[in-house]
Amino acid sequence: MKMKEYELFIGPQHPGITGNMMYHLWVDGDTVVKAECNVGYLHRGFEKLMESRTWMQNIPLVCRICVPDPDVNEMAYSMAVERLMGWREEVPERARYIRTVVLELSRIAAYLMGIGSYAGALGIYTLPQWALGDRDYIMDIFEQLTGARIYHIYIWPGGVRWDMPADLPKLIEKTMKYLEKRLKLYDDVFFKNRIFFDRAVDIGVIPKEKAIEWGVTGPNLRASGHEYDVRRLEPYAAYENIDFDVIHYPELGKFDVLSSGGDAYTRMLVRRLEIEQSISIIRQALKKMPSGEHLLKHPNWFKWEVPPGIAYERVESSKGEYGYMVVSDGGKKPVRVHVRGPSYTHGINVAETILKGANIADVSQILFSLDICPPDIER
Amino acid sequence: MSVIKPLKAWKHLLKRPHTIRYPYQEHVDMEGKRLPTEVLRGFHSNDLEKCIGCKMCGMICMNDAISYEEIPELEVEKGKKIRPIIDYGRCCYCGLCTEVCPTGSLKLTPNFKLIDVDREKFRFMPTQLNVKRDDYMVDENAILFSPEEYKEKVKGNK
Ligand code: SF4
Ligand code: SF4
Repeated sequence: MKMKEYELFIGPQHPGITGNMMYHLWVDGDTVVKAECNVGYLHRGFEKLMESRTWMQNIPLVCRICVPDPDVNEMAYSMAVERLMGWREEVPERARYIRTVVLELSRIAAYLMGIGSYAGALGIYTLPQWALGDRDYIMDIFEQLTGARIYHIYIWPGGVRWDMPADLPKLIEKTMKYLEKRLKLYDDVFFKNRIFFDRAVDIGVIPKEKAIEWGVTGPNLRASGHEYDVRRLEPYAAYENIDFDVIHYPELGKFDVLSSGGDAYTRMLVRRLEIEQSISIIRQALKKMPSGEHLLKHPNWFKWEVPPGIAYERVESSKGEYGYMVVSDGGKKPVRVHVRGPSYTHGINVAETILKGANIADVSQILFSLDICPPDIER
Repeated sequence: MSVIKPLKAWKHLLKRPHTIRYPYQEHVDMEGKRLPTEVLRGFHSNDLEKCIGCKMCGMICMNDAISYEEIPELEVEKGKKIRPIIDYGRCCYCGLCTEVCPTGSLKLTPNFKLIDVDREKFRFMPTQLNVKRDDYMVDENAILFSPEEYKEKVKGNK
């Protein structure tokens, strides 16, 4: 008897999977014929939980929706509350700039982690060690700015929790200089490495015409050739006063354009180039940062009532576009909070579609190149 | 595209390791400042004389980490003798309790190391005692070393 197809489970206990999730693969020989995403290992019921907590009590909760890049959640939630409170224009100028710095630092940290794990999936084990080690220097900055390394609980409705200490810009600049030096080494060891090119070009292609239809956002969408960035289209924080490039295919700077876009190779290069943009954004924000207040005066937290209404706010995270819809009926707690996580589309329908026809050996690298973050799929 | 350039990674063989030999080596940031700094949100400290037992901290805590116990020795009027006890199995170190504390007695300290074999020890009443940063809280029955031994080891490894 000849067996035609067999089934393979990758995850949740597998180093080649992007977190606590699982893919069920049907394989013919070496080729994946069907893939099915299986989530549920991380469901913590955040959206429901938020309905039973007051407006401020939700802040320590929302950051837990994305572990590598937590600040975007605080930002989007705070922006939605600000919109309902009518504070949109009143947020102090200094707070806007501090927010920008925090969001970009968090983006770099998330990209370093993503690039490191991707290189690990290709079997280049040098880069994961380096990237995670360098990410720790950003955690050191966060520790001194926000008081925590991972879950910062720092961006609050109406501004930021504490002012930035006067000596911190010096440390940030030093870290950025160090990162720039390291990026050159990353290029030599990984991004200009023949192995990376041989393995990643034309693997896991998201075609340009399909990308929007499939709901792809963020660096993955830009790698497919769309110049689309929420920071540019609907500037929040201080992005409107800051000059930066939206990195997208085929403008890959110093890297050769070797594929027709939308593949794992381009996606990783877009991330790599965006780290440089983030460094430049941080520098500009630190330079332009005015002095002054950092937080609007909050009402008594126990009696804080937010005017009725619906607000939807979106921000650009390292994974894609995050959206928060917050509904208030004028009470002390939100009636409904809905989170639009970018990994929901990337991890489920996009991954299921592009895994079809891939080799088993490429499954991990395709998943890592999409930068899927399972906690935001299931919240 | 290059096959030769990746070999640059070999030069790291001559460099010092990136990792910290914790706990023998101190954790410092890029500028040599010792971490954690005073900003870190770790265990609480509470000025028991200043605290008025108003239970605000327990009301804001969304993790139900705070309960209260009466301290009969306190020289305050009868209804105000309760003081918060924090369960560090539940606390997420968000610090919202310190923000609502009307007297400002409850604070977070950069102290976050508690070594013990008994999990009940992770539920205790914060006092002024754990404000100082180097006070590692070590139970004498624990297998790991005491603060004095720790300091000795750190000294020897610099
Ligand atoms: S720090 Fe947060 S979780 Fe911990 S006791 Fe205070 S309010 Fe509760
Ligand atoms: S610590 Fe502060 S909030 Fe808690 S009971 Fe004492 S005075 Fe009230």
